[in-house]
Amino acid sequence: MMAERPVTASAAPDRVELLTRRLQSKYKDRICAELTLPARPARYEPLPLDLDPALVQALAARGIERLYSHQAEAWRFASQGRHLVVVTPTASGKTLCYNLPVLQAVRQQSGKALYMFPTKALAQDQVAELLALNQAGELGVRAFTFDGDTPGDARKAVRTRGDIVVSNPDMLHKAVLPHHTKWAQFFESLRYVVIDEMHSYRGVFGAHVANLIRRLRRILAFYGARPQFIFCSATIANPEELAQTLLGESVAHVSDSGAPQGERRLLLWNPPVINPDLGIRASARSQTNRIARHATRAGLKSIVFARSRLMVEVLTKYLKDVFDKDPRRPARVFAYRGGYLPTQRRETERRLRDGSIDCVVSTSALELGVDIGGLDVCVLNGYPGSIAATWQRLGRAGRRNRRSLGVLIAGSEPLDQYIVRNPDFFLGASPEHARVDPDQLLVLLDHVRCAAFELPFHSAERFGDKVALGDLLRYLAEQGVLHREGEHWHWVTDAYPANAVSLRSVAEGNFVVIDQAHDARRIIAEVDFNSVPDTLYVGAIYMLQAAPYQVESLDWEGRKAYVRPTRADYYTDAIVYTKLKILEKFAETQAAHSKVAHGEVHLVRRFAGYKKIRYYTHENIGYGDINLPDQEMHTTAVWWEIRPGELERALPSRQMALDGFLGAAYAMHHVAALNMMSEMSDIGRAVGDGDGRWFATQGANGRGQMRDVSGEEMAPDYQGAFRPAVFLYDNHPGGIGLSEPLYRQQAGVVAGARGMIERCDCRYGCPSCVGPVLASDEERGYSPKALALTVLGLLADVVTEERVSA
Amino acid sequence: MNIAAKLDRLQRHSLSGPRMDSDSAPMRASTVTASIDRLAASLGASSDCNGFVIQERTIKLDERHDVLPEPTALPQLPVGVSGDWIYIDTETTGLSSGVGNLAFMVGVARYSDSKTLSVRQYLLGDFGGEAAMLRDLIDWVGDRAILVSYNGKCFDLPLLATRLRLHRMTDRLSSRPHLDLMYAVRRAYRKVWPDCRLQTAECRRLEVRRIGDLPGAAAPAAWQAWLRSGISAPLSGVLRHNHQDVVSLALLHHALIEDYAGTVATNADLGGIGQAWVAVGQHQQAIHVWERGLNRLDSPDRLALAAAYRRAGRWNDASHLWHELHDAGVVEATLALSKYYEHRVRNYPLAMALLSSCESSECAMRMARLRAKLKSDRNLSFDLEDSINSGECNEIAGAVRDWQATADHAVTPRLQQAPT
Repeated sequence: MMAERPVTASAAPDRVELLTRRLQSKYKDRICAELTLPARPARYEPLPLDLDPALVQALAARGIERLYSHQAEAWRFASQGRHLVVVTPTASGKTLCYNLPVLQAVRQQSGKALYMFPTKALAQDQVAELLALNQAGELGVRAFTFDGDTPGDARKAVRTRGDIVVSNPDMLHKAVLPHHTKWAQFFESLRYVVIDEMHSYRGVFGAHVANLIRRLRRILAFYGARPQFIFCSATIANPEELAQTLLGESVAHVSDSGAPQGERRLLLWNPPVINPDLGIRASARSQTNRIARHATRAGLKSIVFARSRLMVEVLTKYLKDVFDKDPRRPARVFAYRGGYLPTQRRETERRLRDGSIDCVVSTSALELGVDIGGLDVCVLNGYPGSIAATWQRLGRAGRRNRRSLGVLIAGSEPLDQYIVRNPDFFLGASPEHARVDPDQLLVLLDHVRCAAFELPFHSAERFGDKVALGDLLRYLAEQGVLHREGEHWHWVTDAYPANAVSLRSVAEGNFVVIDQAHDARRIIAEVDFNSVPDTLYVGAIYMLQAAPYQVESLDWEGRKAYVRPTRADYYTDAIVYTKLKILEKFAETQAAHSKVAHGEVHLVRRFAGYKKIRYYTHENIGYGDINLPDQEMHTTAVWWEIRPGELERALPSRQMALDGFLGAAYAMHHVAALNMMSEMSDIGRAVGDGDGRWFATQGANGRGQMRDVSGEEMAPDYQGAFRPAVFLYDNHPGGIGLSEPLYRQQAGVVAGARGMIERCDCRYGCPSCVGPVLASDEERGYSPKALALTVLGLLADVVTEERVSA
Repeated sequence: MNIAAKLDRLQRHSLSGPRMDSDSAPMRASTVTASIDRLAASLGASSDCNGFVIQERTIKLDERHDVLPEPTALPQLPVGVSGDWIYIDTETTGLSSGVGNLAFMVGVARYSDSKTLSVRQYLLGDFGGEAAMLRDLIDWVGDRAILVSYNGKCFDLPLLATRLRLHRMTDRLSSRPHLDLMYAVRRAYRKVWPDCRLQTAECRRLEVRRIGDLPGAAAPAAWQAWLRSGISAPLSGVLRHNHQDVVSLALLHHALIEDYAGTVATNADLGGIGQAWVAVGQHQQAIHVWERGLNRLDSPDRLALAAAYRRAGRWNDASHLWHELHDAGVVEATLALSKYYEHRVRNYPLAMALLSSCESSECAMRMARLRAKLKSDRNLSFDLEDSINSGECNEIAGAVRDWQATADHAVTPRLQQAPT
């Protein structure tokens, strides 16, 4: 809690300023835009008069004699008995916004509070902070974590003696609600539920958490408790809406921060063009590396964010090659990402806080509110994919009122290029909307099962307000899960339903990575199920703190990958094929030359092989096979087709049509992500025919290839009907509600993709518009860029709309 | 679109594979209305209009059981407990923990006199009858109960507590004293039997043979079949099974009392039983059990017996056992013996000689300590030490044995010591 720390002048701001000036003068042509956010003074209010005297004393002991204006505002809403959501920047003293009302309720009404954090680490931080405050004021408040690490014999004490229980959604789901009678005493006097890091509850996870809150409130109603909910969130466009969706009730809104902030500089950086013909720029990686080196040499503490775990390892290796050459001296550069063991991560966090790390390279894992102390420089290797995430990451530097510098380095991807070329879009845009669909049918059904186990349903009950609960209950009764008796629906099978439902992902079970060197098998990392096919195939180089390991075998059933340290001078990248089959059309729009539809699809991802890419030169030095089961998914999609006659008229060669479709899909995918304000990975793209007979992929020669169901290459000209389509699909099982709004924005997607390609500086096409194009393409006789524009031209003129079904 | 059809398709194509639990295969709800009267009639029991069936029987116990068990006859109950014995066992809709499981059958039994057991079984006709059944059960059990179960501490009683809480009823069961026979069986038979299930105990200790018994794990399916289709035949199997469980509890209770008294020759692990008595501070009882089966005790048990003798002040008996074990090469006994000679008899040379005969690190440590003590004690002869150092241990060990054989060493006057 840095709430009352005065703005201090230290040596660091000067060095930040010096570095900024050096970059500005040396790399003038690479800086596309600059932004200075001036320092903001603090706004205070006196402590509330009705604040418990012991709390006043506790605050005084920690040097707090007044509140920031937003903390006082939160107090007022809480005193009025309202639910509220607090959205203020990192390190603005957000935790006091809920700790004060909660501690007051504990002290004066013997109330209880439940805190929910998305991860165990954040929960532990929170308890440490509560204990410090508790000790400072001798409050006598008992705060405990309750998570998977809580030993069995301590759990009873937590339930019966805890005033504040700090847990996570998974624990609430699997261990608390299904045993709610043991928590009866706690629930009966529950006054507050605090849900911090609310912005992380979006997409599928958000849908699960919204349903978890429905279950919690159902149980609380049984015990006659009606606690107030306090949500806290990083900046997103719609915190109120998200909180209301999660809670199903209206909430008050606190967003005007009264905390002081040091001056912040932001540079938007575009790597220099090195091949004007192909539109190829120097890599973002090389620029990131350069700026991180400058910062470290200037004696500044920096954090580098990369977009993938692989890039974290590559960057760490390059920086370690410079700064950690001498093994006898303590390391200065560290990597941090999901997949490292919790103890390793805690150690890195500790070193960050005590300032013994000069540079940390991280994925989004450090974006959340883990306390890592004050840093001077933040370098983003590529646009993080959303405006909210960009500001969240930039906020990691300059926490303690010091001047700070952020540098956003554009990659070659269209989104990145769009942003550095249209800085006003980025600087002026509001952050994204967090989307969550609590009534996603599969998620809803899962939680109705769990809820029925916890308390029998009554026919008059509601569970959310979109889907008729009765239909779901009847369905479960037919499945033999529930038994209807009069107006009550009882759980009847011999099963513990929460165990079959994972909140985090659809598939169950993390993989552990086991190092089997020297016969001593030890677990060195964990990888979540969805990332396994891309990272742990046999032959893959798996990087850990920049040390390469090669995967020797994969035990799919046992969820284990066996690796051995290697000295390979390359890394690996998986080649993935995707094919789709249309199951049902919800709606269709007809046009002169094309049609667009929206519906349900069945998707198969096949892992065809991998490429070996040499360090530093980044040349492709070979291929390997991946033997993994296909991943299947049922989801919703939007697809664009051209009427058969029109396609042949405009593009006589099928090879050209394939190239045109692939280029158009590439651009449309990026524009869709931007327009939908979602992350690239939330939407998937594919080119193929709607029957799933074939799909297109880009071959090693850079050209489109047609492949059949089993992944074998087909000759385009010798096939029967040829009706390619661009598919943009919701990349979550069952869909999380992305494709319907996308369908409504269909014209904008096509127009945006056209604009993006037309305005690109390249000649034949480049990663910034239609995707990577090889040097040999100049000899192709036609330009992939022109082909994509032809396809988009045909897709563009939509005239009438016709609903197929609702 | 029809939600059921949509769900079917989504589930088929979802990444996580089939979501249905394997044991809940689709089954159509039957239109048969399960009538409680029909259930009672088919089981030959009396029905209650509140939605549950009661079956009552009286069982004559073996002539041997002519007195009621004493609460203190087993170490598992705290001293000072009194009341009426109530044997209890439940059959539930699920075998996992959690709020969603309920007991659709509860069997209870109490003594009407020392040789007669009255057994009462409750069977739910539907979910709606649960509250009334629990109320009747609690009344029948009463406020003087000492509950006796098999694994009831972890399973049956928490489950009933949960259901009582759900019906907003006061839990008068969990606060009663509770004797969980499973713990007593484990102490006595863990090393003897392949497992400690109730059926194993019946078969190996009570010589009860169940014929055509429905396995307990099949109980949930039997009640589901009744709910869905009105089929009652499997339930009568569950009723028999539960009845046998409750009666076995009483028989096992008596049998365990015999085992723990050490009065009857069984193949129970006397070491474990003695340890159970020691754990509650009943050293006399432990010594009693151990002495009865002395020839069956292994070294750790004998060490425990020696320790019990020591605690009871029976130094003679203790040192005899220790010597025996020392001769057999049991290091712990050598240590105990050396402590005995050092602190009790104050015969340091002997203690030293004993220590020098073994090689454990603790012996070495004690020896070093003792050597320091000897050195600081000027009046003691150093010859002994020298001879130990020169490797004449065997002779010394022999001397120890001779000395021990001739002298009543427990009352040997202490070696002369210089005033410190």
